Amino acid sequence: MTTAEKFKIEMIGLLPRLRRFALSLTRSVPDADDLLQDACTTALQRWHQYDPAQPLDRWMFRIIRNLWISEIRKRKVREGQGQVPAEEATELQTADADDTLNAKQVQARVSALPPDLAQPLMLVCAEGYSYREVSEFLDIPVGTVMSRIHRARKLLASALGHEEGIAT
Amino acid sequence: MTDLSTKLSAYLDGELDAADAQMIESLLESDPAVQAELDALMAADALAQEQFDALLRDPVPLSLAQKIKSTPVGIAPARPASRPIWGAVAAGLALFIVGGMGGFFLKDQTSPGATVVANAGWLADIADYHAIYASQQRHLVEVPAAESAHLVKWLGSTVGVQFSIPDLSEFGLTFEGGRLLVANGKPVAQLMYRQPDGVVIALCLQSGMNGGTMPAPGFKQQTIKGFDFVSWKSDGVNYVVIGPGGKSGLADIAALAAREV
Repeated sequence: MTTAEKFKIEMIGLLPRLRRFALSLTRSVPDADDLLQDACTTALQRWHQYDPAQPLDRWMFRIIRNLWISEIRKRKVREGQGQVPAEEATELQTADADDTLNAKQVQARVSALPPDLAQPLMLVCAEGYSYREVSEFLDIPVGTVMSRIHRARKLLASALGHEEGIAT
Repeated sequence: MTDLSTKLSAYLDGELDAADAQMIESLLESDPAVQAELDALMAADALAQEQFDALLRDPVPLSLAQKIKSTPVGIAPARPASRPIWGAVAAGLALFIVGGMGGFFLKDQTSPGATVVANAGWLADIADYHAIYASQQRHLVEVPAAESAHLVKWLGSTVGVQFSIPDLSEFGLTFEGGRLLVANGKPVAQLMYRQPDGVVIALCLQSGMNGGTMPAPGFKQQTIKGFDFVSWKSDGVNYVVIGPGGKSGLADIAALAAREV
């Protein structure tokens, strides 16, 4: 088996995790599948840039994320305004999440979380990233990683019916 | 005090320094409200993990794995670089999903009914088994092909399905024998075939989840955990042919197996 074939087989084996990662960005199944397909095409084109000493999953995550940021920018241009990319998430979005929390309108689903909260939560809970790794990957301060993961858990806990407790 | 709750969340992730962790542990022992807050965060975390894990069981479109297999690496695609993939293609993809083999895929996303979930679980279990057994050389099967009559009787009575061993030699597949598996808590008969290059293709069958006798809705193609699946139902029995991701011709193998099994 050639190195290229191994690369492809490893990529195919990663597809479920890559798709989950894409979903955490897009929040839409058709968009996630479109994004995943384009990321795989890009990765195959840039195969020579891949360092086999590095984990393929993280290299692919980065490609997916960069493509999505590019897509969001295009949409903003097309639509005049649009979604704010995750890495540009501001406290305003956190405040929105707070409003939603207070209104108790969030279902207990990770898919209902805002992308800027769902992404760090997924990377830590499901992919085993450290806060520092998430910080470097998403290009946000470690303190922001910590507060977003906390906020995500609080939204889910609230939707599960847990009282606000000491955090109010 | 959101700051304390945030630290509890970081404590869950093992992200606090020693001093903060010790402070949290002292509070947890002395303050029931702090313990209750941690419990709430842990419940949320367990929920999140469960839902993130469930996403991995969603089938990936088979066409994508096949495209990866067939695309040469390091070569720019034939399509224009500026193709409007997010607009026009999205509409095409939606039609494809609804109309083609992705229907099952979309159904999984939008109506996770009990039967669909059970079927997905069955195939996910099969994928796990295949990942282990397909790499076996000497111990690929429990009962070898030389004991085919016994295999049919034994697996047939255990699984509760009468079947014949399909002859798939026209695809270069040699029947090696079979195994008894358990998936979704029910027995599964697994028939193993090998290509001359050693690649293993398996045919699995299990009595229908609900004992239904719905007519076969056709073949469904999916990729789960890196393996390609072509599944179908007939007379209340679930069948699936499984092979390595990106293998071409799996649907043809399944079509012949469906006629002969």
